This record gives sequence, structure tokens and C-alpha cells, in this order.
Amino acid sequence: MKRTKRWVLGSTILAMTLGAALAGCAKSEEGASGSPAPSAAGKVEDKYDKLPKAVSVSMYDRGAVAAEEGSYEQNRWTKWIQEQSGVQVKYVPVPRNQAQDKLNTLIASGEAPDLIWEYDRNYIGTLVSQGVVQPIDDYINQYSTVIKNYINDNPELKPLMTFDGKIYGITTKRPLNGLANGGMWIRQDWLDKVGMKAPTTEEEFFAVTKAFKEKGLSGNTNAPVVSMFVWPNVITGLYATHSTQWYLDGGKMVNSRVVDRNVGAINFERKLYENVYIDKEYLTDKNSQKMMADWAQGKSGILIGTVGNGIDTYMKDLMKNFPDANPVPLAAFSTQYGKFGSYQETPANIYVAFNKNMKNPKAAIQYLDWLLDKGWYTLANGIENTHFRLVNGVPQVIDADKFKKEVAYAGEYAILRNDAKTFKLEDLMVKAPQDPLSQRWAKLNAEAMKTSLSVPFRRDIPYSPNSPEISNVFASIEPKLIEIRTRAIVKGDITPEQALEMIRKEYKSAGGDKADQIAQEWYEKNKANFK
Amino acid sequence: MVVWKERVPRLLLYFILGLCTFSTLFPFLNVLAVSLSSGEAIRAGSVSIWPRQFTWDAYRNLIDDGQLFIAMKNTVVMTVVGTSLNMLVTIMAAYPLSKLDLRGRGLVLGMIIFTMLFTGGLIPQFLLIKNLGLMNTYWSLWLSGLLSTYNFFVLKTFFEGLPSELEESAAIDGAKDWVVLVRIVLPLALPVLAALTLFYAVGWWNAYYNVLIFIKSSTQMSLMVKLYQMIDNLDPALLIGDSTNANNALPPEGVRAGAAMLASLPILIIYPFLQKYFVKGVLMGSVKG
Repeated sequence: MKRTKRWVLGSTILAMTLGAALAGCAKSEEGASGSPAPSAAGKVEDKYDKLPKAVSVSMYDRGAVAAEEGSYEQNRWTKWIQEQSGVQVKYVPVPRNQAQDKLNTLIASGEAPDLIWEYDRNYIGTLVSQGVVQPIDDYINQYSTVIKNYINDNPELKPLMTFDGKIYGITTKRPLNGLANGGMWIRQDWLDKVGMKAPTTEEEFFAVTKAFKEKGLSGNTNAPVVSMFVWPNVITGLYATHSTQWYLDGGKMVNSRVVDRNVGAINFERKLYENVYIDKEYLTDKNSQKMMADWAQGKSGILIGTVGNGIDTYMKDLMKNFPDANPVPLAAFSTQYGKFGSYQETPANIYVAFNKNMKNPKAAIQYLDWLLDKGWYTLANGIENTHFRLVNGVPQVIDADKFKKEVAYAGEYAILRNDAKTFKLEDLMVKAPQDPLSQRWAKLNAEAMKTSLSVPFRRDIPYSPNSPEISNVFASIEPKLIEIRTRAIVKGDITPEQALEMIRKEYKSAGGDKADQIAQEWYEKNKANFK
Repeated sequence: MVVWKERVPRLLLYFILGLCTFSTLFPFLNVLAVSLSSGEAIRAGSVSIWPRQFTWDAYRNLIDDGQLFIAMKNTVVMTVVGTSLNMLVTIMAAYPLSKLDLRGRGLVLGMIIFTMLFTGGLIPQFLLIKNLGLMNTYWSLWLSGLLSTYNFFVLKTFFEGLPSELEESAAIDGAKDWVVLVRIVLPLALPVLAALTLFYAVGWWNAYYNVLIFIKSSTQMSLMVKLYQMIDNLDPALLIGDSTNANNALPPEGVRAGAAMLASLPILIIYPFLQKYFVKGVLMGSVKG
């Protein structure tokens, strides 16, 4: 035992020295190859003009290209893109489910594509701090027209694109249906049966659930009446304790895991659990299969879940099998802490960053400009009168199977889109299949998104700080925190207040003070951008 | 004629064993049933071990666009070539190293054991593969997985256990080392070889992570990677935030179950034929009483 330990230590040290030596070599080889910013003098002769107009772009490989269409690297759309944009674009697929792993290996070995993108702002932030990507303000100023105007027209996106005071990740705005995420549903027909109105406060919510249960609307008086769908995005939204957030308390940054409001959130779940308003197994119901089956079978009256396509099949099952069922969206109710909406995404969709080893940034800008200008529309919708026809200016798919095969995967190329400007929630009905059931759902879904967005999600700062120190703290205590919460909810031998105390203790012992300090410094440094 | 007294414990034993068998079969039957049921039935949670509202939709979705066959072909190539190379190298390494009088034996064994305890890590391996110019070829997988230390030791131990008189008598008759190995030793080692072949083949069949890392081209992916992707495409958690049109009437569970069936089917078909070798082979190389 002792011997192996020594071995391990020895070899670790050896590996580290070797690694350091190698890294040293790599550094000296590269030298200061940071691309010099193009001079703003607007010379006619540009050094990039001599280079081939070529750019490589990462993309998610979802395995959605049919064999006869070709592959992600070569198909009808890649040809079309080359022709239309005038840039030789090469796509580098990364598997969707391991995207960051794969990108990291590509980056570490110098194989990464010129344009690297992710939905996750923190990932781009990590690349910025590692010096993998470069600032792009100068390129935009010098070479871009479309993106430049887009940023001017959408000033709220600028802070999201900015890291350390410079633009690193170009992003475009999500349309409304991309913003809405968490949401609740209630059975209006059940409300009518108990003669109550949709709840607007926490007390009313529990009064309604109690009435539902006592009336035995789910079949008997012991059965649960509330279903929950997968993500904790609703409850943590209502109590403003969402795991992605830091909240400001009198100018002080407090992480969502340790804010006072956790007491309310835990208490809410405890109440659901101890009164059997929700399935006793709800914490172990992976993918919420059991609870969603109850909802689709008309056995629950309230769905704490989501809006959008995650639940469409269950909703359609419900409406098909129970013609009398009348599910309606339920707006976020107020709690003792105030009124906060369930989780909504930030307006930024995808972040596109420029690899610092990129050969031809000018070509990259040309490609992205083209994409944001008109390329995205065709890639998202296909060719007019072949794949879609315009109904009141909204593209409607002509043949779903054909679309799925020939166009669906092309949306992956459209990483910048200008669709938020014209999108209205009513468009969803034009886009949905035309059978009555799908139309009914599309209409409900649009309403649900409106309802969900009507109460804003509490976001004290537009985006969260990211640093390895902070994420390490969370990674080390997360399992423990789940355990504490579960104990308070299921066992109930500790009060929510005690649970929060324990959580704070865990947080402190894992280095929470340091994380707080880093977050605070980050906030002081960046708050000027948050306007 | 068996007396009742003896029969009762026996029946009880059968009953208990039957119960055990069923409990191992149940999840499998459930997955099979789910893969053949309609989305509605799955969502309603009414499927146990018999398909409800029978439909091939999940399989149709998986097979429809032809990608699966390409991936299947890739995996077969990977498996056949990979396993052949593995066996070749394992035999050629294990046989000489099973000879106690081989010079430098300790050093070579030490080097092999070292790889069992320490790995370079993903990034160094990646750099190595890249600098060898093997990126995006199957050689990156075949060469980096050429020898499994564990399998090597199983075979080496087996070779060591063979009576040396056999080989000596052949040598006296004028057989060269090669001939001894091919004509005498390998036929005796068939059960072990079959077992190791299966070990290796299953490994290749399930190749996932390395394929993901070393193979870039989307048309060269292995079956497991493809299946994984297809399942992911239906995963609402991944679609949230993604702009994909998730207008998929298919139940993710059904497709997932179908993928699981397709992935395990070939191995299931092969296994019964190899099982007797398998059991023997695993016991070989262990200490004989």
C-alpha cells in the first residue's frame, strides 16, 4: 500500500514536470502569435484578402442527416452555403451529448475549428479565461455590416457578448418561444367542480390543492393531485432560488443555494409531500414518467412543469382521451417573498466565439454576416413552395416528412438568426400541423408561453460569474445539498430553517466565503455593463 | 421413481431458480415490450412485459434514414479487424512471455503491468494519436486498444499451465517454434481463445467514447454513438434551449428501448454458441486445484 502511494506520487511529479516542460515548449514555439488587430486605417490592401476565403465551424452532430442526404460535412445545404456566402465553409461535427468534451480535446490538440459555439455562456467564458478565443470588436468594426447593425439595434445583448470588457461571443436574440421555459397548468374543469378560482398566492394554491384532493377528483381522496415535470425550474423560479443565479441583497452577491428564500421553497415541497398532494415517489420518479402518466390519464389537476414541446405529447393524450378535460395555463403565484416568474432563458441564444488561431477572420465575418442577413431563414425553413408556403408571412411546412428529412438538420447551421424581430406567439399555430388536436394544443401552448412570460423571472444580474473556484465549490457540495433538502422534504425531522442552516454550513466548509468574495469582486468589476 | 420426500425440495429449488430467472428476464422483456408499444401506451405507463397497441414505429424511426446501417457496417469493420488484431497481438505477446527462461521477460512484463496502473490521460493520448497522424482513422482505435492487459495475463497464465513435455516432444520431432505454437499450443487453448475473442469483440461492439474523441467524420461513427445520438434527439432536456423542431410524435422511451434492443441483439445471438467456451475460458488461467 505504502509503496504504491509512493509510486503514484513519484509518477505524478514526473508527469507534471514532463507536462510543464512540454507546455513550455509549446508556448515558446507559438510565441506571441496573437493576431495583431487590423489597423483601423481602412487600408485598401488587406492582408486577409490574399488568403483563401475559408472558415471552419463547429456544429452539433445529432445524427439527423439521412444517409441519402449525405453527411453533416457534405450535403445539399453545405453546397448551397458555399455558393451563397462566397466562403468555403468546413463543418466540424461534435457529438451533441459530449460536445464540450470533444471541443476540449480539439482545443487542447490545436485541432479546434475557427468558430466555436455553445449555448452555454459559461463555457465560452471558460475559453476566454483560458485564452483560447480572441476578442472580436475590431473585426466587427472593420469588416461587418449586418452584425454591427444588429448589435446597435439590440443593445441589451451587448453585455451578454462581452467578457472582460471586450466582445468575445456573438449572439442573437431568442424569439419569445425560446425564452419561455418553466410554467404551470391547471385543470379549469376541476376548478369549476370545486367552485374556486385559479390561485394567485401560495395560500390559495394550497387551498385549491386541498379542495381537489378532498373532493377525490383524481379518483379517490388518497391519490395525489399535483404532477411535476422533470425540472425544478418552476419552484426555484417562484421563490427566486434558481440554481443558475446569484441574487443581489443590498448590493451583496448571494448565491441562490444559500438565500433565505430557500426556506420557503423547501417548505412548499414539504407541504406537497406530507399532505400527499404529490406522488410520494416524486423525487425518485426519473423523467417524471409516473407523474406525467397521471397527468395524461386525467388523474392530476395541477402540473408544475413547463411550456413548450417537452410536454406536448402528454397534453395531446389528455385532450384526446378526456374531451371534457380543460387544461389552462396557470400564472406564477406570489409567495411571502414577492412575485417571481418561473425560469425563463436569457435573451441570448447561441454564443459564437473566434478561435485565436483563426487564419482568416475576415472570411469568418463575411460568413456570419451573410448568415444573419438572409442565410438563416432558408436554413431554418427550406425553399419556398418546396418545403414551406407563406401563410400571412409565416412559413408553414408543406410536407412534414419531407421537411424532416431534407431541412430539419439544416437548422443546425443557422447559429445566428434574426427571427426574434418578427416572431409572434400566434405564429406557432401556423407552424403546427393543421389537425384540430395539434391546433388546439398550439393555441394553448401560445397562451401558456404568454402566461409564463407575463411574470418575469427574477434575474438580478444578466449573467452569472463563472470561475473554476466557484464551480468546484458547487460540484463538491451538490450531492450533500440534495440530501439535506430531501431529508427536510421527505423525512421532515429537520425544519426548512434548519435545512438552510445546514446548507450554509456545508457551503462555508467547502470554501463558500472565497466563492462569495470572487463573485463580489466580479460584480463590482462588471456592474457598469449591467445597465 | 423418485420419492416425494426428495421431490419437494427439488420442486422448491426449481421454483426459486425460476423466480430468479424471471427476475433477470423481466427488465429485458419490459424493454422489448416498450420498444414495440405505442407512445400513448408508454406514456400511460401501461406496458409491462407485453406490448400494448403494437407498433414498429420506434424501430422504423431508428432504421428509416439508413444511417443506422452505415453505423452498423462501421462497427462490424471495427469489431472484426479490431478483434483479429487483438487476438494476434495477445497470442504473440503471451506465448513468448509465458516462457520463464526468456531474457528480458521481467522488464517487458513490468512495462505491460505499468499500463494497467497508470494511463497518460485523455489529452496526452489525443496528442499522441494526432502526431502519429491517425486522427479520424480506425487505426487510432485499433492501435490504442491493441492489447488488453487483463486478457493478456489470462492467456499467459494458461500457456504457463500447459505441460512443457508436449512442446518438448514436438521440438524433438523437429518442429520450429511457430509450428509448435500453431499446431500444438493453440488447439489446446481454444476455449480460452474463444472467451478472449468474445471479450474483445464485445468491447469493440460497444465502442463509444474513444470513437467520439478520435473520429471526426460523422459518417464513420460507430453504432453506439449513433444510437446515443438518436436517443438524444428525443431528449427534451437537450432540446430545451436548442432551436430544433421537437415536433416528434415518438416517445423517447420507445426509441430508447428499440435502440437498446438493436444494440444488444447481435451479441445476444452470438452468446449462446460461445457460452460453453466462455465459462471454461474464464475458469482457465485460474489456479487449478
